[in-house]
Amino acid sequence: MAENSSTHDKTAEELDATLKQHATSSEIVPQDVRPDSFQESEEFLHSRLRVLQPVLDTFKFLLKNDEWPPFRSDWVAVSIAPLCVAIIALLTYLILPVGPAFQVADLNIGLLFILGIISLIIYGVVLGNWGSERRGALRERLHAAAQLLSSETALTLGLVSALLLSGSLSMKEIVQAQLDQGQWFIFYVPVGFLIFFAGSMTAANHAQIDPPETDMRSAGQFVTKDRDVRWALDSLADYTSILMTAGIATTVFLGGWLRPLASYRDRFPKTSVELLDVLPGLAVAAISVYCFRSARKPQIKIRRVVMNSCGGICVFVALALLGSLFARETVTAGVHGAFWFVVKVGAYVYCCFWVRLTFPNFRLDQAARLGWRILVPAAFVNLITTAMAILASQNTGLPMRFTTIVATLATLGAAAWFAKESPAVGVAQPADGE
Amino acid sequence: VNVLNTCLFYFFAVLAVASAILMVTRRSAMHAAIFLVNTLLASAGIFVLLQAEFVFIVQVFLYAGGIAVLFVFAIMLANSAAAPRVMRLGRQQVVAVALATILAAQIVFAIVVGRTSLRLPAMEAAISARNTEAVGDALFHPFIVPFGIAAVLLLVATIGAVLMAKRGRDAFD
Repeated sequence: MAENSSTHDKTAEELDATLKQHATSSEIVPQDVRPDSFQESEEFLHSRLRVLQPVLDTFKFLLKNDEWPPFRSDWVAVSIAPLCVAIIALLTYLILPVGPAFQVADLNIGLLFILGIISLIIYGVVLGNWGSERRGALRERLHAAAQLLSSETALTLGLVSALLLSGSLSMKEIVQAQLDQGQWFIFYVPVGFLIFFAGSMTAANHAQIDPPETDMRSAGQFVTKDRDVRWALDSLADYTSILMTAGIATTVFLGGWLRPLASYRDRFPKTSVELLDVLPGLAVAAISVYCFRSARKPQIKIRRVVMNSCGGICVFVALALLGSLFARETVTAGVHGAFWFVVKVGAYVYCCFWVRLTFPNFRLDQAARLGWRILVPAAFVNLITTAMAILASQNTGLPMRFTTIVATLATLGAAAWFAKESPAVGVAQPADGE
Repeated sequence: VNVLNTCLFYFFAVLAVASAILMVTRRSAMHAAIFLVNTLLASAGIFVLLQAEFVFIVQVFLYAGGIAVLFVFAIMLANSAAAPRVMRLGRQQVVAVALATILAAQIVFAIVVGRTSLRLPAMEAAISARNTEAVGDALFHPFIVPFGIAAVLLLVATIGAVLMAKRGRDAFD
């Protein structure tokens, strides 16, 4: 087993150490060293069950005695802070449209609801750090809050550029507008999308951004010592907010539940089955075949199990996608819409983690500079140029594609100018003290 | 639906009033700020029950998410970490009680008079369906002049704030 090489090394080391230890006493007592086979099976079991680790951890934290922060700190504030973030992030799922058929509530203030709710997340950050009476905590929490403000301003302004095009705040109507205009909004306002992406990366990522003081790993993290249920809530909040941003980006910029080439309709003769709707089902079926084939290769068992379960899931999805083609039209639209929505959200989350793991340490002053000096002004310029592009195409009859390209170029030029005008300040270590 | 609405209304109303009372009586400024946010959110809930979704979200966005955050910032900056408690107001209590009595009398008067004479027009279906558009229309057609004046005022305030911040920094340098 290839993956167990480290285990072997460890066992060899242990054995070595034990032998050395007993060499002086000139008798070998092998009870200390567990038999190889036993250890291997345990390791194997462990690695396989590690998939369930987060779930089990949560139970463990719930059962564990919660250690309250020290007496003087404000434990009410500290304990409601992660709850606040997690609940807020979960609330926004209320209005994400997963396909035309799956949406809890289609509020007419749609996107505004999400933005308003997000603006409450700052309490989580502020209160979480309020309790701790550490020296320097004040500046850290102010930094974290200011940084969160800057990225939220930027991402909101990025979204507004797409709202100019959609003309509605309702999530459903935003997707409908993209269908009507025959274009996802990312192609009309790419800069808006980029600003949203960067803003949401630094906003959702506040836990990752290093404060200049390194006694605490991150400014948005409340629990410094031991992992407990508040830590679990905190990471829950983290993941839910990533999924939430992915949902927003998918709906507003990436066409929501629409498939690529959504306005291109080509039906099979004498049926209501559309040609392009067959393709995702076939693609997923092909993936499942690939999974099953690669599971049959000689390899470690865990990989085989994973491949087999992937294949099984893909078969299920492919059956659902292909089978729904013969159902009523609303069912077809619902299933396929949900499929495309999930695929797009998955791709966005993948990109998020890609960026996040590639640049794990984003310094706070860099984030602040990016937010206030580049993203926010560029977002304003983007807003103005987009509005001008829409007006120009309404008044002169030029196609939107052309005017938005001009607008995008102008915005990029302005952004480059902003970046040039605000050079990075070396290592900006502020003077010590409060 | 009506029963549910009534229950929700009393829930939010009690929540709002209770948090308001707690906000005034807490000694820790931070706790008072948290209860203030709670009051604002509870009254936002009442706006939802009135089908004024736009007003609801403005309440959440501007008051709970904006102004109250500023309060929290100010509290954090003003208090050193060691002294998060404030003294109770002493002499001002008399004035406060007098003002509160006058306000309560006004409210009671308004209710007594309004019970018989006040007739709210029925809400138009078009407005309830397109809440945000209705607000936008109102802002940009009948109320364009006050809206413009408010915008200029805010711009001036922003520029002033930036100037003052810069001057303060020069003084430190």
